[in-house]
Amino acid sequence: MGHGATAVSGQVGSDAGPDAHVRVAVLELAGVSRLHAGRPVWAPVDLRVASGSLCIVTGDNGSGKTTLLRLAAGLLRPSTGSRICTGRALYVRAGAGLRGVQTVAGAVATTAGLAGRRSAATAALAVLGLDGSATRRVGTLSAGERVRVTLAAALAAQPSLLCLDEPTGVLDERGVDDLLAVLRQLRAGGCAVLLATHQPAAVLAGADAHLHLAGGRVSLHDPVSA
Amino acid sequence: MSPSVQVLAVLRRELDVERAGREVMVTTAPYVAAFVVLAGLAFGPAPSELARTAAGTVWLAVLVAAVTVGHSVAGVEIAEQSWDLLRGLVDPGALFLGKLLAVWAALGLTWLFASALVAVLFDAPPPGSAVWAGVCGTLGLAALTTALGVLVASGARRRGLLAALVLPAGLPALLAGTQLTTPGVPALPWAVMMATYAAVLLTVSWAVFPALLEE
Repeated sequence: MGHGATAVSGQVGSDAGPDAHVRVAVLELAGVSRLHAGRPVWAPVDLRVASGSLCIVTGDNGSGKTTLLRLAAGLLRPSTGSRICTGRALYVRAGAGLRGVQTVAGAVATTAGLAGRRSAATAALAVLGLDGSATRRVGTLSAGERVRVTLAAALAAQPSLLCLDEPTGVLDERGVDDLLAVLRQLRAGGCAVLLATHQPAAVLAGADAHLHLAGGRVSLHDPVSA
Repeated sequence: MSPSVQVLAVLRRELDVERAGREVMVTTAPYVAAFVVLAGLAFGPAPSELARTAAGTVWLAVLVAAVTVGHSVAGVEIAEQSWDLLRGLVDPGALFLGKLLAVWAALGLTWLFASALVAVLFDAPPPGSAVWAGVCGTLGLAALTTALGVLVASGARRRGLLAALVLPAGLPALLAGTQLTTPGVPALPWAVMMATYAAVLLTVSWAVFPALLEE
């Protein structure tokens, strides 16, 4: 990893080692920045994210975490630089993403169906312990329950890159444990995860990298030393 | 996953959401019914007056309902924060076609409903050419509504503009649809105009839709 003119130049998840044949780059950002009102949110970023890796993104409110995640997911176009992503990238804001009028089972199945994986919905609901809530409407769920349903939908859709924006803020202790279990399952399937949070302590232990946004710069840290 | 399967998945999602919430039906059907009844009271009640205004009433009802339906394309999705996940899961082309088919179905049913109401209440059965107007006119309006629904919903300052954009741009459908639904009017020129209108709107909306999604 080298730090030059760019704010961060690094790699999340090694593609060396015994499992190198499956640890291919899912996301590559080269000199990427995004302008808001004519000013860059952060200095240009070079970043390579390997499949199966977990990168925690932290920073104060307004530091550009959501912009970085939406850009990584392909929802925002970079103002400078280039973005290459192999496979499907999803951006999910805490508990959002599903239509409130649908039942939990219906919303997860419909979302998985868009990825051609409708049959994976039942198993995903079981992993998140949502069998008992399957007939409830999404709009009637608590914030924490909605996060779990959204995670079930993401699990069923099996993306290559999952950008989770603040999923931990509304979760209780069991919810965080479930989140970590889902992340393990997603990563085992090759999905790379970018997770923005204001509670990094709960998720840093299993992470491969830690991106911190501050002062208009993005810096890459070792998650263990954070 | 092939593009056609993805289009059908988007359409199925739209139908599932509508079946669960009946939002479009609940907002559109009473509105159209009230519109037709009030138009009958305003233009009538003499049977000769009602018969003369029947075709225009049908297409005015469809055009105004297109504004309501347009909010379901992206406005409701953005309000419920489901738009980002949908964009991530579906290619722009499939998203456009899936949404287009759903809007076309909604406007087609609206046209059927308005036509049936007018036929009964105004005692003015439509001619055969009205079917062509219904198919092509609602397709053109669906393409227009799908594209403008996304354009307007993607900017906070543009959200009140849907009616201001859809109503004038839907004028050709209103004119041709009214003529094709009026008994005794030569159908061919208006049928060609309606088909051209639908083809142009479909092509332009398809071409610009990916750009409308970009942020």
